[in-house]
Amino acid sequence: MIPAPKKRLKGKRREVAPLEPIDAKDGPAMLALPSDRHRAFVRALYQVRPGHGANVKAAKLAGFGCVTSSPQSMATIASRLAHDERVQAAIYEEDQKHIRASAPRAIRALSSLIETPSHRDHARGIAMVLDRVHPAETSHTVRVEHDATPVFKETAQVMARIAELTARFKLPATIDVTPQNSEATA
Amino acid sequence: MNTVETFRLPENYCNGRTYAEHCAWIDSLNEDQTIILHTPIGHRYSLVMIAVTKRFLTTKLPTETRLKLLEFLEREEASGFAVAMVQPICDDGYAIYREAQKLGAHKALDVYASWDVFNALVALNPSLLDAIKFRWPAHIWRKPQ
Repeated sequence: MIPAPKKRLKGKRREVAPLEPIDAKDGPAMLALPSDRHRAFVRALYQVRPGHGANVKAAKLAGFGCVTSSPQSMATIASRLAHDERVQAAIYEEDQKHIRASAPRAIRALSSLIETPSHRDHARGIAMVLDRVHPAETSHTVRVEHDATPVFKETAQVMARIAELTARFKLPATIDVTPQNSEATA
Repeated sequence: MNTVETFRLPENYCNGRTYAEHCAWIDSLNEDQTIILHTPIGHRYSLVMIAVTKRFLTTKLPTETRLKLLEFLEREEASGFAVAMVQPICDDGYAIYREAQKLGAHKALDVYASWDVFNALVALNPSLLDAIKFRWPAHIWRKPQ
């Protein structure tokens, strides 16, 4: 006979373990923005539907303008915000974050693609994965020849003499090479 | 007939001074000024040229020119100058050099070696005086104590 499972006694409930804070931290460009409304504008750009008027919608969502603001003035506000260098730097920073955050989904989609033989791009997906796992090897043969003709030897001697005299007279060592025009000297 | 000619010192003995005035002026000089006074003129302008050359060598130059200037310094060193002790001439000193150059290369050397100009250059670049002292440490004429 199987003993019946122990019934949990009603009483004091277990306390929930405190979670680690999951608040995302803004990057330096976002923190450099002058106000929270500017940061809200940048975040809203990723939420509104892209297309005509997206900047205006984002500006309204961020709290710019007022009830009496005309569409023209809202458009001006949104345009100025979108073309502000600080806002653009923050958009660039957020772009990087969004792209980086999309990578797991892209990998998951690729995994499902290569596991679906009936998909028309099945072979292309496999090739893509193999290219990253075993990239095609190419070899280059670089031949380096050192020409120690008398001209080069003399140049080395002159440079050595300059270095010696410069050190002897306690002058700052400077490397200045005058390009020699082969056509002019020929 | 006994003709005895008495030697008379000229009124303008040196730089518009009489002999007595000139002696008094020499007595009024301090030790460094006395050293400068007894340094030959050619040595004074050579030191100035060494300082100017060293200034040129701190700038960007074609290799050929750099080597020529360094070889000039080497020759000066072979003549006994303490080339390594001389510091490159400063901006103000170089301005004096440029002004003197307007008189022509030959006349300019006399200007560098002249009492006033060389003293001014020594005030701007004391390493010139150090180089003089280094060259003649024992034979230099010093004021009797």
